[in-house]
Amino acid sequence: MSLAITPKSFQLLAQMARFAERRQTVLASNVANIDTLDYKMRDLDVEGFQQAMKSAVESQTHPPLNQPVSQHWGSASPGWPSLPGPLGNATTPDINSFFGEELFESQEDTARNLTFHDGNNRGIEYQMTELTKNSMQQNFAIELMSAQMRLLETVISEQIR
Amino acid sequence: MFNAINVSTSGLIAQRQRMNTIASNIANIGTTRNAEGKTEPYQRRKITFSAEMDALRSGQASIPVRGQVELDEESQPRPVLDPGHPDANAEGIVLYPGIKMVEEFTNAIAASRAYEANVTTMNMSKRMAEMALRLLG
Repeated sequence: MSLAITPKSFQLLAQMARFAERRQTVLASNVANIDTLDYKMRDLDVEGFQQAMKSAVESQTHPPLNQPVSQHWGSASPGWPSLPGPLGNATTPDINSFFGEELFESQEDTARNLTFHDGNNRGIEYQMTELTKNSMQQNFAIELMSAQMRLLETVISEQIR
Repeated sequence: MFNAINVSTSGLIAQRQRMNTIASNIANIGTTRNAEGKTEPYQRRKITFSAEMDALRSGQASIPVRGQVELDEESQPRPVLDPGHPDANAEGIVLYPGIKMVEEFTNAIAASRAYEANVTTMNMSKRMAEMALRLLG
């Protein structure tokens, strides 16, 4: 996924799809074990992932997103403003380094629901909504990735002609 | 992605086993003899689910479920006075299996709902896999 021609946002989207697919497996395990004694519902660290996403995006933008717009105009080249470039200059850190393996490891999610007498803290409504949201997130990532691919294809085919 | 489908399959199998167990219990609600034709009330079967967790891999994502059918030792035979019955004992009492119809049907509904939930999950995983394949063009 480190092709020079693929934009850095492609890597972000790939991580997003990867996370969603991993989480799908965890949520599917929860549904499969809905009647298992002493089973505790599990989940991935969604907030941790969002945080990693945020720092990955922020690491790629110059100047940082939280600076006022007035500072976005570079003083180095007068007359021609240097806009905050698209994601990814050669100097920015690797996107994938923000997504450590610990984000893809499941953990017990005991705070979410009350535990029943059989030791299971099932909550089928929550699991099903999360499944839907998760699959929509993967859908979103893949759609954007194919849009970028189409864009690349257009660029390449125009070059040939 | 196929892991998610495998996990849902394990859920489907477990719930189907549960349904089979319930069906056997209901079918044998009046059985007073064993396979050899001797007088012995049918012993209720129960299913226990266990999560196939790998103790060494704490962060694992796919946790299939496994169902284990065993005799329900807690269910006691139900004595009914019926001296004319061929399986009645010296006091004229017939021992019927300790199976409660309401309990079995409640479990059957729960099993079929859990089965549906697994089917829904599997369809979602399938759509996600198809989605990922669309990237190929």
